[in-house]
Amino acid sequence: MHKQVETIQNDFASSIQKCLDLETADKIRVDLLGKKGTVTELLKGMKDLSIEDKKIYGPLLNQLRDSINSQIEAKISQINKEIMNKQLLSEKSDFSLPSQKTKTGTLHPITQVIYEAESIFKELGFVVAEGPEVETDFYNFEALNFPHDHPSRDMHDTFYLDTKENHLLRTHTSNVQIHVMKKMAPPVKVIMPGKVFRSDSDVSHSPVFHQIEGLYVDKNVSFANLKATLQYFTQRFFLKDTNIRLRPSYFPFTEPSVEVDVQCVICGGKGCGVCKQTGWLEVLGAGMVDPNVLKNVNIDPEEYSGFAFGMGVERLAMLKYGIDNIKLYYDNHAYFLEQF
Amino acid sequence: MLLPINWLKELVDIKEEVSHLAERLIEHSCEIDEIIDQKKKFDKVVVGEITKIDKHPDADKLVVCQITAGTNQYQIVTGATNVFVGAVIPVALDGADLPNGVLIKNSKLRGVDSNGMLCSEMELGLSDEAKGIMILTDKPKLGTPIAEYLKMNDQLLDVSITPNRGDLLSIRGLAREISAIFELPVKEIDISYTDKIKHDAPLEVINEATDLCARYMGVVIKGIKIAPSPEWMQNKLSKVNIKPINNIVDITNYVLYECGQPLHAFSYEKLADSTIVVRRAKNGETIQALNDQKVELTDKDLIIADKKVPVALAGIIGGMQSAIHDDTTDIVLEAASFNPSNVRKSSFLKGIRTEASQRFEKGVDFQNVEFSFKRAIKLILEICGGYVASDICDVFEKEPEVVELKLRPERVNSLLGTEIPKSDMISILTRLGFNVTNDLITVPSWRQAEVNREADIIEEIGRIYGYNNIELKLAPITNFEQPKDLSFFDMNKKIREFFTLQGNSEIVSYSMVSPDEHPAIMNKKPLVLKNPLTSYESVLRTNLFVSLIKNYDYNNRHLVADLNTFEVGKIYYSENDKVVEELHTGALFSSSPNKATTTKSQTNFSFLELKGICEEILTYLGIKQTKFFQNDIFEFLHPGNSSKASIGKDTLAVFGEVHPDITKFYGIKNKLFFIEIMPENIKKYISDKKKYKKFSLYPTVRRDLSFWIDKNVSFEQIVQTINKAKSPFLKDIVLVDIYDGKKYGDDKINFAVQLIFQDPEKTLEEETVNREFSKIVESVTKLDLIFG
Ligand SMILES: [Zn+2]
Repeated sequence: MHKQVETIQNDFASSIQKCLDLETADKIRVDLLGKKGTVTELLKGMKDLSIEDKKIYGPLLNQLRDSINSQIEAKISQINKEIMNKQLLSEKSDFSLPSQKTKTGTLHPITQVIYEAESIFKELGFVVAEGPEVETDFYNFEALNFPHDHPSRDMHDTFYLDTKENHLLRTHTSNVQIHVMKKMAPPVKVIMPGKVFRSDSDVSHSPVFHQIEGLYVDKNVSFANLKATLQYFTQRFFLKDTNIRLRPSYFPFTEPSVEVDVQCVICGGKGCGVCKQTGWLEVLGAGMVDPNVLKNVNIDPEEYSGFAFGMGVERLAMLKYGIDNIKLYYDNHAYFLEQF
Repeated sequence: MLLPINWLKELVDIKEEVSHLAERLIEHSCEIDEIIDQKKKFDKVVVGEITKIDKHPDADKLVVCQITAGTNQYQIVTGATNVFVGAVIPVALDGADLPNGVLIKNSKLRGVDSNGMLCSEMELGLSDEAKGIMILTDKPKLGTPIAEYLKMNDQLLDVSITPNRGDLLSIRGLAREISAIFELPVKEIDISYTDKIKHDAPLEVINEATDLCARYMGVVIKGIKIAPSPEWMQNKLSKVNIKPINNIVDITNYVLYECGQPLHAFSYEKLADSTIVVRRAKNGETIQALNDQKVELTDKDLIIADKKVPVALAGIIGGMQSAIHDDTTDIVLEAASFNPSNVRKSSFLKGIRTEASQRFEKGVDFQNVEFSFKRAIKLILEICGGYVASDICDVFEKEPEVVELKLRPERVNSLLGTEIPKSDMISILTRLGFNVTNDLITVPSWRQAEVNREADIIEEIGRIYGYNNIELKLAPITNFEQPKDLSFFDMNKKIREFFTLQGNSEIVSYSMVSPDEHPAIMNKKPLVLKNPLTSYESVLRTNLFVSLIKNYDYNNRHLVADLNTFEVGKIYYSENDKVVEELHTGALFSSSPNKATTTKSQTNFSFLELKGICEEILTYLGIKQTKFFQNDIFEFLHPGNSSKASIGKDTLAVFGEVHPDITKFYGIKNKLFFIEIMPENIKKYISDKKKYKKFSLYPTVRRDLSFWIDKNVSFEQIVQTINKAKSPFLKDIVLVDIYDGKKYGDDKINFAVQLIFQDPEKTLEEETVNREFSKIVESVTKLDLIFG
């Protein structure tokens, strides 16, 4: 009996090792464990054995059956896995083939810059406001302290419309300051992006461009607050250690007024072609809201003060993305758009 | 304005490097556009003498010159014919970069070494034409740099001055500013002259318009001789790009540049009755101006006249009739202060802008009128000869009131966010010429036009203290409530997100378009620009289609045919004389969304796909119930394949296939589809409220229904008829197929729809479905249809 079991084990070991397909595996199983299989027959013969022999051979045969069974199962699962692998490999793609694109569109760089700026200023508690592009002289100039027949008006080449009220196309987003302050009592803290127009066109000027205006009016707003706000913005928008520099300037609606330069983001301040060797890039104009402007919207300049700033979106995008020609923004060539 | 450093040094003893001076001016006062070094353009050009001239061995028209320039000798080949041994000439040496753009290099001319070039006046940029080499007849020391010889060795700052700093538009003004920054004294300009001869010329000034002329000064100077001005004056004027003309004109220009006050000189002999009248012109009066323009005058213009006719348009331009000529001996000199906004208005209306008018527009200093007037008299007497022949007429009603402002140091510090001591504030103001006594600030005469409020004083203190010295202090981030909805910010963001995910790229366009696009494009009365830059940018767009189709056309011409785009922007029109401005979104499709066609032909895009996009964007934005109607808004869309989505009277979107006439007009061969969305209307119907509704998990049962029906019956009518059966379990009606066969003639079309039934409470029984289905079939039979 021992010998018989040993023979079965040896035969099985060699046949299972040679087995390469599911049919052979099944045949081995039927031969050994089927209704008339060798092992089944031996188990059937158990009933004729003595009690002592049953005690010895019972466990031995059961063990043999279980071992064979589990080995065949393992073999089958191994063969199945090989079959699956073979099949999957036969379906293999050439990953160097061009992809079949699912195309998503892009946002225009002007929009992307505006969105980014908005989100930075939102961190400081600003909310977004908008205003009209077709404007009256009052909102675009007069309320902003541009007197009639004053040289300050020369700074803005204005498009006029043929309407009864002599409408114009706003020359800056500062008109929104007036709309906001007329609507809400201070404190106000708003960011006002939008399209603006100047009747001026050459290589570096487009008659249409975009600005982002900021306004904060509250009690005790100071020039130091303005500086900190602008530094916060430039460091978040450009590089973490970007410095700013302020120069006296003139805008009728702010006093004091300054131009704000950032350290050249191209050369890091060492001087290059973009910054004309100065190490600085002019990016925005700013100042403390002129008391006349506050008076024009019925805010008492003794009680409240504020700061305002404005920046050119195309300029920011130029520095951020290296766009070297303002015309590109408005040509909207497909090869330009797809880069953003 | 150009500031020559040597001229500045006559008034301020400044020792700083020019670059440092420029930096400090940028920091405290004004922009510097450029630092100009005159020497640079004459680098490597020196004085030399020709010692020997030989014929060129191989060229008849060339000669070989030996040159000595101090210690060095050079051989130079030239084609010039006016050279001779002993001639002293300018020599450009190897490496010189001449003002006319020529770069000098050692070379061979027809085989002979030539180590430089002999220069003409033209080559040195000294004149527009030249006959041969420039001969330096005054024989300067050999080897002298030519810049030194020409006295072109100055440095200049190109200063850019903002409209609020009219006081800086002169050497004297800049000297004052620089002295304040560097804490240096300013030397006063000499205005003393001798007036000893008995006055023999009568002169009377009558000011009839004191509101437009605050001060008028006039004097007669007799016996002058018109001649070129002295070399020193010509040099100084040339340096700042003022062309020397004659001594009188040069002196008025010089004093304008030096002191900032415009002056006018005219012929005394031409003055009727020795009288000057300052008055408003009469309507219809004219003057022949010095620029040869005949100017029609009105009672809004201020003129200087004699008893009969105008002699000058005040503050703007003189008249031809009283102009000074080469033989003029007796003149009237005028210095005045005219009303800035009146000068500006007249100058604008007449289209004449002069150096003088630009100064008067900014307002001139009352005290400086007299100062400059005397300075000019002094220079005329010294340079042109002659004598003061009349009393000085000085007509003004009253001196301007002294502007006094209170110094509130705590206010200054609170606005700047600083802790500047009061004593420093007083020191800054004093340096700038302000007087501060007992906290009362008196503004100097030259700043009164612009400094008259506390804010102006704060600016003065801030800029001299240095904006860059102010410490950063971030304001508290949010300490108050603000309304959220100040803009379309969130909706625009959603719209942009939607379209980019559909595969459309955003464009940004000019708002101005041509009025000559296809006539079907202008759907409203456009707003027209009065002063367009070009005729094709002369009206404002009334829809976004025009921008998108123009862009498609542009890309199409650059061989990009497959492009889906969108734009979020304003449209504008005029309605009942009112200006309307609305924010819209437009999207243009040339192919199916999300399918980039790289190699195969275009993917077909259909009207119904576009309708799907329309429904989806509206749902995405929060619109629940929309109805579709015939498009009656955009003529540029295909009349059959277009529609509008509306709620009540409000149109939320218009969409459809682009009219074939339009695509043809732009030479576009493929079909295009367009949708325009009106967010301002949509906003009214957005419901943010979202409420959970129970849904059924019991199985659905489907029944197919197929029939032929008249083409004129809309799908909506069919749905309505099905719904008339009022089946409580009918959950949805799905259109499976439309088949336009000819089985029952051209008028009939086949619809295959699937009816979906569901009971929210339990599984539907076959019997119930059959019963409901029969009800529906019975209902639709009322329509004239053939099943099958
Ligand atoms: Zn740089």
